[in-house]
Amino acid sequence: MVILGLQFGHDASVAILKDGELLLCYERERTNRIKHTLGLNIEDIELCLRDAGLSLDQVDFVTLTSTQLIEYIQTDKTQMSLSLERLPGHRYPCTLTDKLATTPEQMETYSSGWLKYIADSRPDHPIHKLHENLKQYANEEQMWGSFEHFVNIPLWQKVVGLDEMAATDYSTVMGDDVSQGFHYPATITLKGRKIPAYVFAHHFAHAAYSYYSSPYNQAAIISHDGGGGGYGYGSGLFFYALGNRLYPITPHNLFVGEIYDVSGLKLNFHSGPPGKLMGLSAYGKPRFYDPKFVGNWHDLKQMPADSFFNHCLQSAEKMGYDLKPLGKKDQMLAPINIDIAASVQKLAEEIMLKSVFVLDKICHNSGVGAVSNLCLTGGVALNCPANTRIWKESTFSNIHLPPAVGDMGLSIGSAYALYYNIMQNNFVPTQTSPKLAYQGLRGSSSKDLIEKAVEAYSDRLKVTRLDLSFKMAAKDLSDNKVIGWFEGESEVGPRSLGHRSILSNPTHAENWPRVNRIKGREIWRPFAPSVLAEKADQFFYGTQMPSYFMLLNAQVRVNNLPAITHADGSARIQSVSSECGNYYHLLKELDELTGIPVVMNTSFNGPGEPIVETPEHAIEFLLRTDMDALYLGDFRLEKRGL
Amino acid sequence: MKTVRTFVKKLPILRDVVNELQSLRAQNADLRFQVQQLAPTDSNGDKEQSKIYKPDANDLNLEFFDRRWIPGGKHKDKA
Repeated sequence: MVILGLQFGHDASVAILKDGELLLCYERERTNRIKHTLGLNIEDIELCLRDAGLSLDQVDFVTLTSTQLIEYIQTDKTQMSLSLERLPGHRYPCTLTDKLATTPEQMETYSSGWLKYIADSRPDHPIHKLHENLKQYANEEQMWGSFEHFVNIPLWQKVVGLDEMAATDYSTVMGDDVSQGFHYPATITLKGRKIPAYVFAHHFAHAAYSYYSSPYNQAAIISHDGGGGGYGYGSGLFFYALGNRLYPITPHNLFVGEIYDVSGLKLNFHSGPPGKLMGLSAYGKPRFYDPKFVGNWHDLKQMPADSFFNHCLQSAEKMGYDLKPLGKKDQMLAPINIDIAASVQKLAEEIMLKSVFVLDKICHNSGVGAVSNLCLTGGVALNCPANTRIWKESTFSNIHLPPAVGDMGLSIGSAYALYYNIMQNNFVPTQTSPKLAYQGLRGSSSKDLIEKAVEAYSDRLKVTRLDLSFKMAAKDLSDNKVIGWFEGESEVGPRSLGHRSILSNPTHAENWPRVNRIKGREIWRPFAPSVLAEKADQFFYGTQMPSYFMLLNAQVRVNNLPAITHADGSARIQSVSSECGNYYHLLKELDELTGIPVVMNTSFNGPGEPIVETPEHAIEFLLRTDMDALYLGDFRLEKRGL
Repeated sequence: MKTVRTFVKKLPILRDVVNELQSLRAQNADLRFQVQQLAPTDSNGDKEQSKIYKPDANDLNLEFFDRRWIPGGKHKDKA
């Protein structure tokens, strides 16, 4: 059974699931070089099938997702087109068709048209940057969907506040009707072949990715991101999962994601506002935090997402802050900016903590009892301090955070949802492994491709071939060189985890500004460490649970790692185990050389660029920056003349 | 002055102590909350149960979620 998962919204991706096993997940941004790109073409699908050794004829089903309100772009309908036609292959249960007799025409009434509207009327909107030529395809013929509207029950409009949810018995909601009401049959025609497909609800796919990649056979799940605005199920839901079944409990109506996004934009972080805001928050104190803002959109009387930011400004004015540096790039560490960032961060943490307690209470009140396992997903799950507090302070003993919690993981999630929840195949959980992250294209790191790239650039490179490249790389790091490390399949998700990384020595404070200059980032932005999992406890506090995907924080317990110790003494660590490949051996070797099995690890990309995917991307980066060396397969490369 | 210098020298140690305490607190957090969970929040269990809202059949009627987006950037239920 081959299922092709397609995510058409931002962070567009393709996943291939064969008999329930994930073969790959490809993020289109890595090849078209547009960060967070949206839309897919037939070429992307063929590239992935080739990489997995499959052909179009072998695809049994396709699953479709998009970002909230974003339509599916059909750039060339002769090659790839979408419709709501039902095929004989659509034999699996679907509440919308089986119980509600929802027609394709009815479904189409609810298609959004948002992207087309923006493309037509807002030429300055940043979404234009996410596609090669959005304007060209913004017509009714080539835009399809998107569909956000699945099953509903009146209870979800009746019980809307977090405290009310905590006092509600949802046991009757957690059944087949709702569980099978978040997908809709469709047809995708690829090169003339009609394949049965299912459109999946955004957060259902998020939740499915997190749960079916977890080591649990029972879990509570929170999916939450910046879309949807805190009403309906656009911004996320609480779920409960048992065995192979995934049960939506209720929309949670949270809008942490939106508050965070809006606050980041107001501080003038126009690219990657949440990540930058999270980094800045550690410099400040949450002086404007007020517990009265802890709640969901309904608890807060449907307040606009910028209300908390405005509250911060009003409080700052009363406290006598200098407001002139607000949002100024060259004064980002001014008290007004850092204290707003810290206050927004604190609010996000408190709301998420409260939500987790509410979910726990719901499980108790709904006859599920005590649940030990929590899965977090959606863009808000990239917030490491919040994740860490949830792990430490919540009632859940274990939490699972897979590497692609953003929209790139939807292609995997929808494929899992179809295979396990809808087709009801047996789900056997497996231990969390770092390999969950290394799901990129195998072809991008083939020996042949690397050799060809090295040959093509040989006139500008000093090339050394090595038997054990990690030994020389460790030596370079101990000599305080900044190196690029390119190994095997690339990482899925936003973090570089030692397969496409820029590495440096964390014991030298100057590497913080130096690598920020190499990457073209703001000088204050922090860096994360990778540490041997078995020795993490010697260097960091709070590492009882391995942080394989850099989604948890720890406190640095030593004084000799200045380049990765953030202003508040924290670090967003990656625990490296033997399943990480040669990256593990590099850290082992570094430990032998220096006694410190820690490297400063940052994503292998320049400003505004996606992470490098191919050997050419990596070599080009070496040639245009001050990075000292690049390790590419068996090769050590330096710029000529050095 | 000497006291200040001594204090400054000891700062990293103090930080370690604080971190160690935070770490211990984190390790204990699970236990703390599990205990809290086991303890009844209301001495009268029946009374507590009656506070829980149990949906009736009308609450659970299956329907199609009407949350249409209206050109201009609003949703039907937020317009």
